[in-house]
Amino acid sequence: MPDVVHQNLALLTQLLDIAGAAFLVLGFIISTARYLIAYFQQRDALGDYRQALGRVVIIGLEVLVASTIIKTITLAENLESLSLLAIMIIIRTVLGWTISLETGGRWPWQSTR
Amino acid sequence: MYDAVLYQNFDINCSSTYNELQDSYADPDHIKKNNMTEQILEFLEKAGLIITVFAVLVIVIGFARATVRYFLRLRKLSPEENFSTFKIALGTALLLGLEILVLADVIETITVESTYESLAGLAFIVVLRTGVSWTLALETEGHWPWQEDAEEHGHA
Repeated sequence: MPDVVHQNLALLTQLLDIAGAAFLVLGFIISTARYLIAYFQQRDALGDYRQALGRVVIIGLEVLVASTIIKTITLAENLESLSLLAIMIIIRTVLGWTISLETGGRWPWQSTR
Repeated sequence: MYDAVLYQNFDINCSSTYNELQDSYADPDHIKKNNMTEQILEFLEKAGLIITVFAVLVIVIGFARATVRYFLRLRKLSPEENFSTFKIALGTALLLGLEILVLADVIETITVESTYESLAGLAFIVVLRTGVSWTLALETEGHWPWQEDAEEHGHA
């Protein structure tokens, strides 16, 4: 692949990384602020807060996986980056399953009751 | 003659590091980042650190709050009831803190060069959090998260 394409793809993955991180930070700040407002209004919003944090982590990881997949194009010959991508995908998937289990009470492959 | 060998070795070392340097510039992962991305990454690093500290504070404050409440309720509730309330309050604080730690760790995997070690740390925290979450759900609701609620099922 030409060098220019490589460099632009690397820049794109950096931008995706930053976008995912920004989403995580902003999601954390917003959900925490909402929980604190609810707390001072004497409402119990702890369950909502945990669900909001879980959703933020799921979406943030989704964006990061996109950047990691693009990285495998630029670094396809590198076995280490591929295995790091695999570990990242396993973490993301397991986290998504357990969070949906905790919020919905069932595994993703189980039908709705 | 010894000096000549030493000099030769030095020369070889120098040329090899120069080649490595050139390789690292050719590597797309090591392109010279522009100043803005570097600043953003620095900012994200700080944000991740702040969120980590926040998570620790959540755990510490939650524990302190639960302990104070335990002693305040010492006379109102029976010892068993008081103990189980205390235990659930501790578990909830721990769970919330771990959830926030996961978020901070995901940010850290971006800012820190992703290695096997950092990803293993993230995976370990996820496993830990999930285990605590499931056992806490078992204690508070009386069944595992993947089991159907017995009472709910009876009504349906």
